[in-house]
Amino acid sequence: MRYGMLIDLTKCVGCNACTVACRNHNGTPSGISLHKIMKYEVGKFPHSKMKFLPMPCMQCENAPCEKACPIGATVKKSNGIVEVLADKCMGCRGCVAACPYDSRQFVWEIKNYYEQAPVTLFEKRKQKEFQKGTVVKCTFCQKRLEHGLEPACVSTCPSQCRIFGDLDDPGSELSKAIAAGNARPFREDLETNPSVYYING
Amino acid sequence: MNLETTILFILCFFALAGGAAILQQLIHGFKKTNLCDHYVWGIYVQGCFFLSSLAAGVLIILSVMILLNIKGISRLAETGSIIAFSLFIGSQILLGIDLGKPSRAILMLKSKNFHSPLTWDFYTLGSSTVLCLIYYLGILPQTRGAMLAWSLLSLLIAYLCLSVHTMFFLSRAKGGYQTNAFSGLETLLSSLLGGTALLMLSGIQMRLSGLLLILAVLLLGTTASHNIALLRQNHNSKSVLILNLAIVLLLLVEQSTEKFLQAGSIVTPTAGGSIVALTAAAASLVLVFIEKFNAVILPQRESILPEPYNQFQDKSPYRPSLKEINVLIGCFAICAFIGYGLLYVKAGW
Repeated sequence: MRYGMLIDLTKCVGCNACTVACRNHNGTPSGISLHKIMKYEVGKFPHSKMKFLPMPCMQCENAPCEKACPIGATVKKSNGIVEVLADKCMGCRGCVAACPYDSRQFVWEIKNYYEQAPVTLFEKRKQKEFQKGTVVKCTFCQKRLEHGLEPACVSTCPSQCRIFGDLDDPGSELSKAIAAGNARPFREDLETNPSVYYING
Repeated sequence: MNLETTILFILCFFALAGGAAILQQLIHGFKKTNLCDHYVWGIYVQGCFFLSSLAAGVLIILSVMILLNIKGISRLAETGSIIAFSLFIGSQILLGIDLGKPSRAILMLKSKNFHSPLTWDFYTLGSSTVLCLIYYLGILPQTRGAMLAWSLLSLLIAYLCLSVHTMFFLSRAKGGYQTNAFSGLETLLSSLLGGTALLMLSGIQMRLSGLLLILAVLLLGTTASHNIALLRQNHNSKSVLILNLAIVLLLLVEQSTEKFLQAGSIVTPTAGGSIVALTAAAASLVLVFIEKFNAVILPQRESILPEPYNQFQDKSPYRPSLKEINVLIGCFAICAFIGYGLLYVKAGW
């Protein structure tokens, strides 16, 4: 079993719904985003256009962040998900420096979304899951997976540009889509063997 | 109260102030620092690399001198081991306060993930400190065999310590030329340059300006070749080059003046070094500090993601906050206090 994801960039409209769903599900404090969308411009005016690259953690098989962690706080689970053990992380940020996909974030401080307003009940509950001085990252919404649900970014995508599944199962929709199309991982040359594939659009 | 005691008290005051700044950092975390997700390592790690580089430089010089059986270096070795010890302590303090959860650093003893450069950093810094302490305390048997074993071990560990510091950005495709799978010549040379400069500034009765000149010339050649190779990229180190050139010129002037004075028998050369040589030594320390900036901060200035994906990413430079600078100066003061204090104790109060 190795969880993976395919993102079809020909369908992505850059609406950021995935980022919002991720923040909503994980209750990340202000300034922290486990999923981001890189916007960039191609072509020259008047023929230029905006393009988008949604970036969850690549859950690399050969993860540089795992090697960089001196105390084994970054672990790779049997399902292929790379996880940070918050109770163990000492906040050296070696993994943040090592990640070539900019997928990790350090909790510098736990901030509310509306600094002037009192903390909401939702924030109060969710902020308990974050420890100041540790590193956080996307885990393909592990808790949702445990309940048989897809990651929040997958289920919320209005253009349905994402397919989530098991990379080790050749019969899965994900494996078939990867085999059929011209899906490739991002920065394949780094030989990290990511679990996230993209169809270039 | 004599001059030495007065200096010790002044250093003690500054060390206490530094301790207070460090304590404040530990209590409040990174709130008032300018560290962010773009610059995850700042002036603390730069300072750590700087101090450990100087300490490793001193230790390598001492080890080589002992290995080559150079006579009359006992005073140099004693002072050098104390300087290296205090610098290693300082670098570990800086490394410790840069952690989000410093109390968990002890887990490194249990985990032993030797794939991580940080694990190597932890062990090399720790063992180098112990080796310096062993020499300082004089518990090393004064036999040739024991001295050889100590110097070989010190040489290896000090070199490893330097090498490790070139590996942190290896996985980033645009890490920069200071990122090496194993220590680059530039890193080693700047460390030796800094170590020599520090020994000169510590007032030991030994002329080291010739060695400083050789190292400065070698470093100039290495840095220049790197810059020529990477002319079109941002990974240049013009400031290091200019400073390096100035040091070489200063030392050349010093050497030729010394020769001229010797030939005319006007004065005998001073043992500690002239003002010009000491200025060059101080400039060498500044050079090493800038070199560490290029090794730690510069690779982070580049966006992690390649073009065009980083088009709208913030690319503003890192400027350390006043609090960060305070903590760094405080840590330097602690190093100076430990070093001077140990020399004071060794000299017999």
